[in-house]
Amino acid sequence: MLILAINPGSTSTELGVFEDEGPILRKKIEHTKDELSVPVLAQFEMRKGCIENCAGSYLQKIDAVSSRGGILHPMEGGVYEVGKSMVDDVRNGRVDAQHAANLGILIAYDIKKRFSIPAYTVDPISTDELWELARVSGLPDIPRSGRTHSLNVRAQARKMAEKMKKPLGDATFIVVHMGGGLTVNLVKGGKIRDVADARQSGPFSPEACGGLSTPDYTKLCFSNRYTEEEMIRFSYGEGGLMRWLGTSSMKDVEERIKRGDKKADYIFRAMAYGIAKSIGGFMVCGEKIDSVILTGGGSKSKLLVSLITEYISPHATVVVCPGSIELEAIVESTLRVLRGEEEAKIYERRGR
Amino acid sequence: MYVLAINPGSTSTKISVFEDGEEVRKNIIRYDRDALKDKKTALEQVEMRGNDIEREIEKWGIKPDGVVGRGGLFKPLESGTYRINERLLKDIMNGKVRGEHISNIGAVLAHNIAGKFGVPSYFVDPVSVDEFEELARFSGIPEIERIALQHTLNIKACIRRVARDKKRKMGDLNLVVAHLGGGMSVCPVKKGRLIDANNAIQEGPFSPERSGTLPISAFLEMCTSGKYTKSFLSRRLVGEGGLVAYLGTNSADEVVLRIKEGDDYARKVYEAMAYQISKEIGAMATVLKGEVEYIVLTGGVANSRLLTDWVKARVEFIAPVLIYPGENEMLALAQGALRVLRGEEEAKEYR
Repeated sequence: MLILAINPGSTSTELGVFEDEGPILRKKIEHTKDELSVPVLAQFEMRKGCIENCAGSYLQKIDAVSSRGGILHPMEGGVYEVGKSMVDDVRNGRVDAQHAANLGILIAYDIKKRFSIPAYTVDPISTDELWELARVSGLPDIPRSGRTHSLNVRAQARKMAEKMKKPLGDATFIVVHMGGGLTVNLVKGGKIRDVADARQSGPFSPEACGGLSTPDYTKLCFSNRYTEEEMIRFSYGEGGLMRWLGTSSMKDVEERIKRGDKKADYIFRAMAYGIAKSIGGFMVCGEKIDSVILTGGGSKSKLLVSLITEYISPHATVVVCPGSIELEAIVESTLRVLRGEEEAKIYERRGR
Repeated sequence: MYVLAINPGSTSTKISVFEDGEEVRKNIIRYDRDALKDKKTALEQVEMRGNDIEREIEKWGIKPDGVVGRGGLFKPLESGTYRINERLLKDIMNGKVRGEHISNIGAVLAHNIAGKFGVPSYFVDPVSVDEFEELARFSGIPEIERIALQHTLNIKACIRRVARDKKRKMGDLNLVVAHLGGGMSVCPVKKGRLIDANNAIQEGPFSPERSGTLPISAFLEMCTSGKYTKSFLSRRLVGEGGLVAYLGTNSADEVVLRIKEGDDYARKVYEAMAYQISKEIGAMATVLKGEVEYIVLTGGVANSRLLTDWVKARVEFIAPVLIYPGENEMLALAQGALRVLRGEEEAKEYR
């Protein structure tokens, strides 16, 4: 079975053509600043063009197209059919946030129409399977949310369970996805039951500020020192390493540490310290943790991994799965549906 | 040997006399709203509260060998018992403290009474004791520092108690101590020192009156919505957050009662509080890299069996859980002074 998998990220578009589980073609196109200067939805034609160019004649032969899931509304994880109602919600902005991944839904729908093949989207970022206790914050006005890197996180958990020959339903993992943003995820029985997200309340990350003292933050909010947009960027793009050190590249930071930059050293260690604390927080979930999985681009940093492992290894096994396996995850999930092992879910329109 | 302990709270002053560590006299001098109406700041209340204390002491007819007052929001200090000196008094009188709080005048009251008797005066383990390790100080933006403020007096008293109960030296103990009160402090203790803390105001689990860590992006929306004033939001964070925000009460007893009567919503909120406390304990245990000998639950909320059972079930795998419910500030203060008066410990100098 031939599947086209697409994964639009914030600065790149990744695609692959797979014959069952085997990749035949893989491409990742980095976009220019110019291309990205327009709003996300306005990038549709440009991104679609990239995918069609790369996929070439395969487009006529594929049996299905499947995309990484975007930010819709809080929903269960799994494989969803891409249909008109989902596309309408994305197009009309009736979703929780605009994210490049939402373009994947639009592109998949376009291909579905033109070639009359099924289109799917897998494990949306807005997957929300938190257990009740994890939803409660210190204020009823602000429930905790489960938004996370669900595609890669769920895939890593599935893969690890297979490796351990343990049914996914009986396994408990803590999966840490370390990219520009960062999420620490408690995955129990294949579902993401609690999340510490660097954009909300977790550790700080290369680009996000993590949890902050709310009274101090309130003062900052009302101080007129920063605009609302600037404050938003503390959580999206310009917090954490970026704000402390002027770069969100871990490679750069590690270079500076090697050259003897004390400040870079402290901040990098403090980031690892915060990540370790968040992992420790999930160890109280009531089950034995089968393993702590470090994944995402950040897990390629040997220094970061060793700093975190030092804190965690007395409590649990740490496994490093560098890079994300998003295309593979999209394809595997889609294949389960095409083979009838799992049923595709239907998106229920929840436009506001 | 007699020690007089003075502990000013927002609407009362607690005073006790201890004879060699045993409380032999105690009283609570209460103030209603009217009495405090024209004296809003702590400093304005020094004279009134001082006179009232003197009157009570005279009735008791006991001459103390030393006087100890509760410490305040002073500058970052080492842990220990401090002699109250001119330098401290000057800082307090000139407002060189880290915030307005009634505890700031504990030292002034102690000093004044001690002067009458010609005996030394002390303060012990104030909230501003700072033993943080360097990495604990960084948040995700330089504008906001993680600051060492915690329920030091009770936490240090608990560490001493573990040392006594388990026949260990305080300086050898690695613990996680969770002070569970109206505010909550969860501290990893490394060789007797408090190397990190959620800071009962800055972050951590929500508590009976405080909201603790909140999803910050969502909170920003609340701040910028234009629907709320700064002072409303500040109250929602400290004073009217947590259990108060959900259930309209800051009393754990009341919540437990409602749960017994079958209130499922109260149960969910209360159990979520236990879950957050457990997560904070788990997080702080990690800092000690696996070397945790005991977990201690203390403070008023540790009287709630329902809550401590929930927490215990979650964190017990880390280390055995000791429950030291309540807090005895008066005794902890008196013992701090006694250790110095008996020459077991040297008083520190506030500089």
